[in-house]
Amino acid sequence: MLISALVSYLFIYKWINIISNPNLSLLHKKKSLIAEIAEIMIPRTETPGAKDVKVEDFILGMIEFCTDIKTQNSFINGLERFELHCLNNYHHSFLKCSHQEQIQILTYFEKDAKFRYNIINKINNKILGKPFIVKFKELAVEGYCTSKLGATIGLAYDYLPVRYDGCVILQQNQKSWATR
Amino acid sequence: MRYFATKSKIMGNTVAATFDAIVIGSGISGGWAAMELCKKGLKTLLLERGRNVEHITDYGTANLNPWDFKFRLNKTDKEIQANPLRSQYADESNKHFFASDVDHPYVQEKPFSWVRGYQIGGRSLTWGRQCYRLSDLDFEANLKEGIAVDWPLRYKEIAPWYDYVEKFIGVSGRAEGLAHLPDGHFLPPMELNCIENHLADSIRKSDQNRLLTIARVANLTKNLDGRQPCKNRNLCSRGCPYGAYFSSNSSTIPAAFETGNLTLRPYAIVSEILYDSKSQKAIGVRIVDTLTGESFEYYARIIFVNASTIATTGLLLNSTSTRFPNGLGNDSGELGHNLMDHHSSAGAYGTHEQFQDRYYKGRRPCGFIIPRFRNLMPNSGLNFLRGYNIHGDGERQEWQNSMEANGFGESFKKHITTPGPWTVWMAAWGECLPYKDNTVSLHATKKDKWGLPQIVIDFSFKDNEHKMMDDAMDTSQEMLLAAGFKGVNSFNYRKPGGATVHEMGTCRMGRDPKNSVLNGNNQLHAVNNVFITDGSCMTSSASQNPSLTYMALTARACDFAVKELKKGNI
Repeated sequence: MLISALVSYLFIYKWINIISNPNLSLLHKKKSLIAEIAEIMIPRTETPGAKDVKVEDFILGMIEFCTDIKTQNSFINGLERFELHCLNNYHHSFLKCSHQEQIQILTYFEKDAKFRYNIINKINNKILGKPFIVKFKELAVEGYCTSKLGATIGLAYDYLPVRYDGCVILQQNQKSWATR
Repeated sequence: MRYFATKSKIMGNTVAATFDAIVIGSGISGGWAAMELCKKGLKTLLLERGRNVEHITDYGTANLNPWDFKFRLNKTDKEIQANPLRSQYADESNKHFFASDVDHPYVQEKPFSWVRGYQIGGRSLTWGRQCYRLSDLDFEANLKEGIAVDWPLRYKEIAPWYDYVEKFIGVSGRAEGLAHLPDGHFLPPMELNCIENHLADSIRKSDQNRLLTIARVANLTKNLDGRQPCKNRNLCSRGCPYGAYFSSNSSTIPAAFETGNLTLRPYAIVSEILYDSKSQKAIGVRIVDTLTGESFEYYARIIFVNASTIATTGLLLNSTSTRFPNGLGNDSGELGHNLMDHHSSAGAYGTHEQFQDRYYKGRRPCGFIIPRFRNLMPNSGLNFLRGYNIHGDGERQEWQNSMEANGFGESFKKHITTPGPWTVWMAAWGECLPYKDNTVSLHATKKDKWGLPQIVIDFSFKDNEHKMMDDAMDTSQEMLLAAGFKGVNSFNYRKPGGATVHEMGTCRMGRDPKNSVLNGNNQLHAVNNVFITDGSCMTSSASQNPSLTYMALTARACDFAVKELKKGNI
């Protein structure tokens, strides 16, 4: 039943939509929205946040150059749907929503994007590309953790370890290592 | 480094260049051949199809941070489309050490990953550095089981050469006293971490035939010949500015140069080994200069072929003459058959709830190994032959694995920036039997951009390997469960052949010229001045990472060759 649900009219429509060439210039106009979503995910605390490390530049570069057409379309369509959702339900753009509303919106999208069964998630990712919010989050986390400020302040970065100590006591507020 | 001293045109009026020895290929075994022959006083020409890579100077990415790379080591869609194979193995930090798919096409009858490194140093720049000795369990297996042909040597004949090689390259590791994974000449071992020690304890308690030990790797833990100990950066495949791991570039080639006997010739694809039917010897090689497309010939009294398993066999198949219409030295018809690669797809993964207050510091460039414990004795009651070593690694979950969590904001940020539970991933590197129908051949019509025939690879793992993978999934899972791991899942990635980058066979050693290509000294049965000591010589694959064995066989064959030369037998 789940499979037949996937192969619905909506599914076929979506599939045709995602194999056409994406409008990337449109995406660049959404830079401030992308920065805002990323900052809600990874806010500035006592350490830098997503905006401090310019995660939006990383996300745009990744979507434009390091992403296949399917995922590009799914991301751009997802972002449009995201904006529409804000307008329809909150009557203004995400940037103008309150912090609480912003969290509510992201939570709604995350719930919507993930199926209950992991196997369905996998099939969905493979055929339609990763859902917008899932892809966005991955990029935001990666962009943050591999940036200079994110790696060296948000996390712990050991440029030249010299020694390997296999079993040391975890320090208070110990951050995890930025690289492996 | 100086380039070729002499350059002679085959078509011109200049005199051809003559050397005592020619070595084809500058990778892990070719570097050894060149060094050994030079040290023994032979004027040696080392030919390499790729460009030069100077130790340290040409490791341009070695000291870069993740944020120094435009896409933080992600591959562009363009790179993935153009180089589907290379992009699986290399990123912006090291792709200059991997051959491009575009320039170096080959034909895959079934999916086969042929990962190549076309530069001075070859794949010794990017190898996994794991060093394990074969034992008589491996050398006797074919004979005892009636598979393929017998190895023409036994452990006691190669053991001193393992010593010799290990002392020069520097191998860190722990002696465990196992007959089937013999101890070597080790530098102090690298260190296991908390979770790995926990798993090791559990394994020792549950089964006295199994143990977990730190990987044995060609990463220094002490100074050696001007090379520094490993700095635990785990960025080896970019080239090491400290010379802390063994490569041709860091070790054998500089040592060969020191003798004053080495001439290095990059940009030279050997298209053919030249055979003289009168003397019944190979007299030299013909090369294509990859930059100009010109052809040259070089001559020598002995030739070592170290072009890497598949390329070496391709070269022999392309070296035809009236005497050898089916490829040089191919009287047996075995040339091009019995291609092998280890499988490394099957294992298990789990997380552990304990040791939350412990962490590690530094990035160790290796993991652990659980040496083979299957079929150590005959009639073990298993449904497959031979066995596997389990390689694995323990670490705490970090952002790469914790980003899938739900939620946003401060708590999510904390989740991705603090260490998660300990995990262990481990998988079997398993033996692949030699099958006659796993082959390398030359395509009748397809050529590469230098006009050389494209290589056709027809390989698959078969029933014995698949059953072994099933067993490795079970044993891996069982060991993790016994050690209290949670969320234990076994897996089988079903990677294609070649994916382990341990190609072996196709020019096998043997006792009988009727069913093997090389004798017990890596000498062509039919052409006594040609020696082949790369992976193509392997009679069986064993389950150990094979490079150490290639190096030991090379040093041994060089010793033999020069003695024979001096005796006037060659």
